[in-house]
Amino acid sequence: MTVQCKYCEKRAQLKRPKTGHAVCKSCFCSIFEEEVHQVITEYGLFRKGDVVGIGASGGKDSTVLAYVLNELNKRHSYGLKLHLVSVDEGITGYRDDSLQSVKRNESEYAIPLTVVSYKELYGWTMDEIVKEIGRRNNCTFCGVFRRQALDRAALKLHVNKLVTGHNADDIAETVIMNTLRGDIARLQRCTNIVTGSESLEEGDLVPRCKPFKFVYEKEIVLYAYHKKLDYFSTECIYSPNAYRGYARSYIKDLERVHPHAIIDIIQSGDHMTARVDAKMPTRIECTRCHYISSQILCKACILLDGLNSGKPRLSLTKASRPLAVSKEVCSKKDKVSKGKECSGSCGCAEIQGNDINYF
Amino acid sequence: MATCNDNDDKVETFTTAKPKLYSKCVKCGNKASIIARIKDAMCIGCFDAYYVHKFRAALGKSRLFLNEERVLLAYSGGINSVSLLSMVKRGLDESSHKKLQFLVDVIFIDEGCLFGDTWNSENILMIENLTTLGFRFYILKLESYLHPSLKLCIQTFDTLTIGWPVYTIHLECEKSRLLKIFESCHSSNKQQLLELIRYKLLTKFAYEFGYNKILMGDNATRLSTQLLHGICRGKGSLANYDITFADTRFPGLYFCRPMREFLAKEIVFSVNISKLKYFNFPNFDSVNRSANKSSIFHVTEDFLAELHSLQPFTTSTVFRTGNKLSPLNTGQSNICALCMLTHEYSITNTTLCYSCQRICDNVKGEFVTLLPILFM
Ligand SMILES: [Zn+2]
Ligand SMILES: [Zn+2]
Ligand SMILES: [Zn+2]
Ligand SMILES: [Zn+2]
Repeated sequence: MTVQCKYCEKRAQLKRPKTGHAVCKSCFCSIFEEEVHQVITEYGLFRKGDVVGIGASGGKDSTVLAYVLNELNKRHSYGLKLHLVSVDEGITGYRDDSLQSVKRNESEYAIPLTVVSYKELYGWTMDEIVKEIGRRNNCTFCGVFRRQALDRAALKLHVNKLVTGHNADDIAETVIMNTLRGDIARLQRCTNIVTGSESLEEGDLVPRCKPFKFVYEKEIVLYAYHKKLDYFSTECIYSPNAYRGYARSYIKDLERVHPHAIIDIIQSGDHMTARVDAKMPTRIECTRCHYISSQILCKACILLDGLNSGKPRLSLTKASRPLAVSKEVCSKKDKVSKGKECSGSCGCAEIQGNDINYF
Repeated sequence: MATCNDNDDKVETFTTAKPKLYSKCVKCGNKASIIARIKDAMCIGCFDAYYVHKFRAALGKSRLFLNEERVLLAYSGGINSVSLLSMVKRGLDESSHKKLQFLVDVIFIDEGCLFGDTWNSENILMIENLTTLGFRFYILKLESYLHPSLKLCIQTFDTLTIGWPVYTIHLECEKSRLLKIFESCHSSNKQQLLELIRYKLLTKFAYEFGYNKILMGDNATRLSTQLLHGICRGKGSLANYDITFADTRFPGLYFCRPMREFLAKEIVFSVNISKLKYFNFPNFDSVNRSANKSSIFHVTEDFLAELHSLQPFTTSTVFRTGNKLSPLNTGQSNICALCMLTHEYSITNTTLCYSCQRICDNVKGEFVTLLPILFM
């Protein structure tokens, strides 16, 4: 029995993971592109003349993002100057290979590529860091360093917007992670399609956006397959984040029961606010590297200090310490009911008070 | 993006070391026999005292209950409400200064119509148990929600008549309408719908009979699952209502959850210590589970349970996350016709919030026409 494509006369060749609609190959690809275009216009992600840096890892998400953005830019005359930005963490057998695929994209799509490396920025490669600290916390180093590295590259290239390939699955997963961690501050903003200027804690200098916020990972894979895009599909050899792995497979399980769950989780994330007003930390500059920071030293500098002085573990706790300035306002009611003054550094009573003993 | 995420510089590690087995009671130093929470081993006596204290503290902290006030207790026969009722009973039996100051009546909602009217010896036993406790109690069939007057639908028991409930009114018509609504609702949404209707029926009952507080048996384990489940269903900050001590979504009425800080495990311990009998009447969750039909709720329940076994603070952290959420105080007040929450989403042509809209999605024709009946 042949099923007809929902949108044209042709025979349907696949079932859209997101909606379950039967579609043909070419309709799938054009819907995929059209939906990204809609998000870009609806949220006003770009302005004419923007220099847009595409965080390119060589993986499927950023490869598809570069390809689609390049197509849409031409098709709808966005007037963007695109630039591929890659970070070389210095991971033998992983990043050196994936960078090869970014380089091939550079020539295929004719988008210039700039690579910044941890080695040149920080004096350490990830291989060296792992040798120093073992495999346990290396993702923390990598995450902090990568964030800054992209910003630094963006500044160097006069890029005024960074786009990343985070897809709907990634964002849903982050909502779940932050719920499990009780990280309400991040929960409030982790689904924002544009982050940057307003979110100091992350320290972004250049606004970042996620045009794939509503794009399912499965559809990215399908799109890359049908367009025969060249990407690198090995996972980072140092990524042992078991906890995130659990959240990931939870999302997959939910998707299996009901594909719409991913969008529903993002919808939730978009509408989550904290009960107490969280006072936003004031922006200061890192006294050493002048990167934006909320402490005297930025996270990267603290971690680097640790590495260079041979005490990387100590620096980990320092860097992950809650921000000194981010006090949550303690409401009067809590003070009264708990019968004690809030200490000021607050959590507030919710965290310090009775509950903690029981849990 | 593999298992590492650009936006994430936090990495959790599981506590791989097996928790030390604490053999001594943390309170009195005697031999411990209960470990409900890690590092909190207790002997039976101390655990019982802790349990009672915590229950009373939850009630007291709320400062909601007035002297001599008649409060309704929603009793399902399940382990949570059995424990809740026994705690209340103990509170009422206390000597003067410790005695609970309010009065409690019990309501049992008979959901049998959805599961083939399986009123059986278990139900009889449940009623016998209830009667020995000496509470005034009501039995109300779920389908009476569709009847204009609940006064005509209730079955009251006093301590003398024990036996099969004889309903004075036939609810066949209501029953078939209700069944139609459930038949047309997607199987993974049925439990959600049942819970909403149960809440609405309790509300209707409370309004008609002049109660303004209803005690519910939900525990922390259940509520954290509910919270995460709500997030997976697009509830956002509104998920907070499902777990607060006093849920005030229905005007003039408090749904109170005095058991909300107990882990499921603690309730099991307590019920076992006191040798209380509890019952498992069917619901869509258990029906789906035994039919191996997975649902968002099951997946969530299993996920949290597994994570909690690896990371013993999971339940409490999720629970606290929920406590920190605040529904938006937007000027506009859209009250969802199904869950009665003020929601911030402006979806055109609907009186439902995002999440309820999703419950009603993909339903077969008739449901949509029947739905307005529920909006009362
Ligand atoms: Zn087609
Ligand atoms: Zn710095
Ligand atoms: Zn003891
Ligand atoms: Zn609703």
